[in-house]
Amino acid sequence: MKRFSLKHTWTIAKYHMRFSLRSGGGIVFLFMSVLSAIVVAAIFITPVEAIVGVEGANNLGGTVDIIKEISGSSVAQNAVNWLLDSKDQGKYLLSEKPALLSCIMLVLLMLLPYLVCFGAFNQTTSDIANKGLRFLLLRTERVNIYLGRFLGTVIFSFTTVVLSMMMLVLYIQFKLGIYTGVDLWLWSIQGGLSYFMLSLPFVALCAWVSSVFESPFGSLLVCMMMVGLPVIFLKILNRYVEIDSLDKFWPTGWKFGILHSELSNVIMSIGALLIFTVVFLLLGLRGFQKRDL
Amino acid sequence: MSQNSRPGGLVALAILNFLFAAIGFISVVSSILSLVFKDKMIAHDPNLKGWIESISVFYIASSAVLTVFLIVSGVGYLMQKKILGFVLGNVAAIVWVIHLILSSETFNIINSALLLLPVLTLVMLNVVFKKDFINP
Repeated sequence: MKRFSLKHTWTIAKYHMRFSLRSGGGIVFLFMSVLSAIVVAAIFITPVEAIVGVEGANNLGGTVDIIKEISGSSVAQNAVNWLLDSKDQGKYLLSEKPALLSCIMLVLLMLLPYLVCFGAFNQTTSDIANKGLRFLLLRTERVNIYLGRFLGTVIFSFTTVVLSMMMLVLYIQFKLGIYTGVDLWLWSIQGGLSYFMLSLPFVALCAWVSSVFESPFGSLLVCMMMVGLPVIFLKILNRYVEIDSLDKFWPTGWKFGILHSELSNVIMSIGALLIFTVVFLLLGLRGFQKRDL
Repeated sequence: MSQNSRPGGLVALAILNFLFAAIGFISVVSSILSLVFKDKMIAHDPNLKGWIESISVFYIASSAVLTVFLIVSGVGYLMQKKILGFVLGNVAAIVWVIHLILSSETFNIINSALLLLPVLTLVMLNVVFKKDFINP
């Protein structure tokens, strides 16, 4: 890498964060992230609120017992086991951890790669299209621009997702009041770590795509396809090739790993997602260094 | 970093305003039609009685005012007008919050989802886009 400067990278990251908030994609990402979080939460919280309404706000013990009964049922646990392709994680996520938050986090983790695209599709593409990067290249190196914008996008998307998550946890804690604060917050921190780690490879992938295309809309479209199509391709391939865990060849295959009950699985998932991030970043950076700006 | 004189975020906010204004317009029209054909609708489906009786003139009037505010402020965002965009955008968001509070019986997660756009609008207009309304 030629003349990498942390100071330059951080300055570009800060400006890119500010720019993201003012851009159309940034507003849409912000709106869609928070809306998705609330809608997903509503799917799980509305029935609980109905139970609280029937049981009465003063009888939270009764509500907690009903939720424990539902989350301890084999139907609920088998559904989670099927989703996670595991044999015992349903019990861990629904019985040992706050079940309501686990369900919300699982669905949000499935949506996250697609949501991240809205915040990350335009890291360099519009500036490549309008030749705006030429002015920046007089002051710094390409590597600093590329990594700075990647870092800015990561911080922006992570902050948005964490704010949405905090809103939900506060609502569950103070409005529903069915879980103890420590359990809920510790579990939400692990959930936040999952979001952060899962968003990294996809922001890096979007950085790569946005450095290739000169049309922001084209970049968004390709980013969405790059997130979803390999998953479909690997699913189809899995029908013909008998290889276990073929989905692990794409970051989405590791999305639930950080919520796993075994530490080795958590560490392995973090490692795999970091490797994907580095690979996508290096591939994108290689193209960005060579392309005509 | 290249920036046009009109930030893309303002265009996105304007589009969201138009989208929600269209939903508001449909809501106003359907509420008026429900009141006009109240007897026929209840005769056709008695279960609708409770819902139709919950529609008040205040609800229709505030929805109509809000719809107009959303459209006009959306145009104001696009033209970067101080009064039409910034001031009316803030007024529309505050009216929206009051409308939601008065028209909902209890505070639940669905109501908080509906509060999202007006709160986002208030934050964005007063923090991020405060200096972008350059036309009087």
